[in-house]
Amino acid sequence: MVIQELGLSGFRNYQELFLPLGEGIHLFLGANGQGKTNLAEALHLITHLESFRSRRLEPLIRKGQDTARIKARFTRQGRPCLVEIEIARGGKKVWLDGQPVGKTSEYLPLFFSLLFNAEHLYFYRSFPAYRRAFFDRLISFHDRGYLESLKQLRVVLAQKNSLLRQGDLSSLADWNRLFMEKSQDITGRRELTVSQLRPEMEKSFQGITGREGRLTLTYRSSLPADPVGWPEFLQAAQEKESQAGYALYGPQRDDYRMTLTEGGATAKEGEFSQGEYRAALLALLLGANRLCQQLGARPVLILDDLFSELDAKVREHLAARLDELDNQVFITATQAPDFGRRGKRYGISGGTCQGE
Amino acid sequence: MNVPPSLVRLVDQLARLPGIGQKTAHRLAFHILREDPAYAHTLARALEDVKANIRFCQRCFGYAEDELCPVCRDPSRDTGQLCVVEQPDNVFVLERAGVFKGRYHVLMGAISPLDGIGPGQLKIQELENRLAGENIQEVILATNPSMEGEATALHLARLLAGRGVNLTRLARGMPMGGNLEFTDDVTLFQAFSHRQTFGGE
Ligand SMILES: [Zn+2]
Repeated sequence: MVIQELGLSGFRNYQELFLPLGEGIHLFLGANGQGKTNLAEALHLITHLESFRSRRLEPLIRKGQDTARIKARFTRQGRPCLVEIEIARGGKKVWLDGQPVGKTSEYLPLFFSLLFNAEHLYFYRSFPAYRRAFFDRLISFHDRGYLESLKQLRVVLAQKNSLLRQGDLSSLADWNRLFMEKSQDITGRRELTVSQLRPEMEKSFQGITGREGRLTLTYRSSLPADPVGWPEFLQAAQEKESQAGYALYGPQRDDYRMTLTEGGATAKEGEFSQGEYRAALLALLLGANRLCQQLGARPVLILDDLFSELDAKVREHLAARLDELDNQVFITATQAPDFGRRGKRYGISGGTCQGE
Repeated sequence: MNVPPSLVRLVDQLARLPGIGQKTAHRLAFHILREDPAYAHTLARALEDVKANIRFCQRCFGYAEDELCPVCRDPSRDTGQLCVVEQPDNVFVLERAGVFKGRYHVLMGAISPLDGIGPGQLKIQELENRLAGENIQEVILATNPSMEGEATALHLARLLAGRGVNLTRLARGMPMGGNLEFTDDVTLFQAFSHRQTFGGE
């Protein structure tokens, strides 16, 4: 997907903005507080329909205005599309090619962008639920069956939890059977995605950092590795689960974790330095991008405040890697290296954006 | 709004029907108004009759006007086949499609802890009584292809295993998360003819 034009009206500190974009690496440069992150936020909103830093809609609307509007023309698999988003305090409305979008769940799988910024870093590092949501979105982007299984699992889980709270366990075996059926499907697809990501991430991490260290992504299921043992396992867990009043095991509790092996020692994710963590998440982002590309999709990359807290060598390596990609890339930074032919530079100042 | 009150009342009542918005309710009301008075009378009678006369069949819990529903009273139905459904409406849909020649058993719902419905709230004991008393060879589990319908089918399969009846489940191909009510006749016919043996384990 390539965003060809972006229009903003009453969005954050932008009164009116029209930007012709297109292929390449777009560098939004400027001092802090001028509107770089606001621009990244608007671009990300197009594919995710929610802000990456505010649950409330009010802050997205420029002071003194009733609504904020985002309008984007883009090409998706060679076909032109138009997305219009209207944000009011009470809610937002979305149109795709002039047609109102009723269900977010039907819109989201159509588009994909990969985000890197301070919020993403913080949430990814802190919350297992955020990590699960990140991978769920990635997997469901190329696997519609996965989304269907997830939806079904959610229903089964809600029913099972309700049952455990009520204490009438006469149909627990039946819900567990459905639970195992859906869980096997979901964990299988997650395992597969992680195994595809692992070598890509390892390569990317070495490429970005110039280190020998091996970054490894692992999917940690809360259920035993072999589904054959699940019925017995859940049977044994029944008492604990009834006491808790909710399901203690299953895909809803699973996690994705990284380790870094270097010089014979293995560091867990919690022991990564801030710089290592940034590089690891960039490696995940590049790996996820590879996966999408193998399926013929080109996600938009949105890299907000990319170069801060990365040392000079990493910055240089990263810039080289981004230059090799054929994605449309948006980077915000206070200063950025030259990207040669693919790079387009814009100056951001006080809610305006000027091509250099 | 200066509209005659009796017209407003009719529109309001029609608008309470599922799938009928204000606009459609207006259209229907004006249509009834323009029609012959006999039509309004027949319609009113039909509405009253359905509430006064329809009850649940004593044997299968489908809709009936007497103690037994028309299916249970029909001597030409195959008494060896029993089709288990969630709601009386499902019987109506299957009969309209004409895909099944046996008898029915309505559970009056599906297992759904979120709605406070466990196996004990369904007509499962009644089903077991029928299996003991009638000469039934095949039980077709035609609960909805939703998670609740699946759980109910699994539960019945577990309960009825080893009782010498052949258990089958309607073939997939019916949209998951769907409802028998909204399944077209052709799909229903295929689901019936490709039904598969179904077991708890
Ligand atoms: Zn009957």
